[in-house]
Amino acid sequence: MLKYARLFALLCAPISVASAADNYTIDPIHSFPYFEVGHMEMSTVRGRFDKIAGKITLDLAAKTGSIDVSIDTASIDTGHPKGENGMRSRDEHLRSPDFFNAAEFPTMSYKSTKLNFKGDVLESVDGNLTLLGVTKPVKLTVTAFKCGTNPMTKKDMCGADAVAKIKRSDFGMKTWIPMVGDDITVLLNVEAYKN
Amino acid sequence: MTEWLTHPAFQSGVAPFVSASLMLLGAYRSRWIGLCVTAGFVTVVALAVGFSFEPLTASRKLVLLVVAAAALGAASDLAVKRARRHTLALTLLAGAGAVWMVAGVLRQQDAARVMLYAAGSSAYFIWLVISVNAQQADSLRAGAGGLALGVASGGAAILGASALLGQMGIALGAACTAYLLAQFVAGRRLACGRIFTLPVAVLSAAIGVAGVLLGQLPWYALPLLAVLPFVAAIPLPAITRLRLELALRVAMAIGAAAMSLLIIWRTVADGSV
Repeated sequence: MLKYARLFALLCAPISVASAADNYTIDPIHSFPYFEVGHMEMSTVRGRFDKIAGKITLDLAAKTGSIDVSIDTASIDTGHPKGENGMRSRDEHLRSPDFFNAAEFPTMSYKSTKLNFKGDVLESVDGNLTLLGVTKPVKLTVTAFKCGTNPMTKKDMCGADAVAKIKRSDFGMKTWIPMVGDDITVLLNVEAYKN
Repeated sequence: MTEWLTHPAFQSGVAPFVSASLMLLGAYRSRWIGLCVTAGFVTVVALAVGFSFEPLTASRKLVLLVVAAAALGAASDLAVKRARRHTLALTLLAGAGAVWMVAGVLRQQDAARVMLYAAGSSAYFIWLVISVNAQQADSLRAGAGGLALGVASGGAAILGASALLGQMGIALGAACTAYLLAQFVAGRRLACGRIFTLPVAVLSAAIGVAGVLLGQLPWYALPLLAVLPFVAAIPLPAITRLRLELALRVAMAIGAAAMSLLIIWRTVADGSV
């Protein structure tokens, strides 16, 4: 009998560990991926994607978790949405096959492979970015991370800021390099509510 | 030098013109002279985006289609006997190539749009292949038609928000300019054939379709572009002087291309698309 009880406990152990993980859904109105890119090697243009969706799983006790984010490429916004005098705007150009090719690749995604903690704090995320059908490893360095209760809604949530550096040419986006820079800084701010 | 190589005007205008001219010089007395269009196109691709085919996007399929068109055109010219079935096969291949090129866009659409986009793309490809190939025996008409299609398709693509497609169209115009200029200087007609006309047709058709489905070119730009080969081939009164005929055909081609672009530009500027 004791043998069966031990076996049962052993089988249940992974389940109890897994159940400690909390699932979060990204809040799309407080989460945005921003980017910075050099223009003409003179200045920096900044923009963001307005539509993001995804799930986060966190087990703070076990210091594990996962991130799965999808970004609508057509939602790109660099502050120039409408062209003038028959010429297309910068946002329209960025959606074209020259850059994000939104008609053919309506989404890009980031899936984590490992969350790296330092003590209780999430320090970085290893994962894969899929852009224009090309998947490459991208490391997110987390610059701020906090979990707690939203004082307004009283819901449990986590928030983080993260930064990453990528080369757009690695994903096949080669148009007008170097006039439009190859090195891209990605800045991500995420808030997610516990399900 | 590096700054030149990265400048869009050099990539799409000067470099394709030079490479097409080199091809014209190298193959001056041979039937391979028609490869000047493909040489110009390959040059702009090499300088602007390079040759990589993974993943196989619509614009990368466009590159493969144009190279395949040059090969098929050459094979067709070399064929001893040109059966009607031969022409039909090229036309059907063009229609199938159109659907293959935009398959990535079609996958994102509902069934009704898939049918509409596939049928429209195929029809435009087939139309241009038939109408441009019809000029294969006349190097002046074919060259002027290619010039008009290149300039107008490229300009329309820029109005549709894709500079890369625009560069490809302008490169086609530059290569055709080199081809026409060589005839003007030599004072005689050069070899033409499908090795010249098929890449012209496929490239300009692909730019137009990609401009609509991948960019924001209004669909009704395509019928405006589709008439250009006929404008460049309008019968002229009996002209014995080659240079005069060439100048007239170029003037008609440029005028028609400019008119098409003006209409497209005005509709885009009016915000009706």
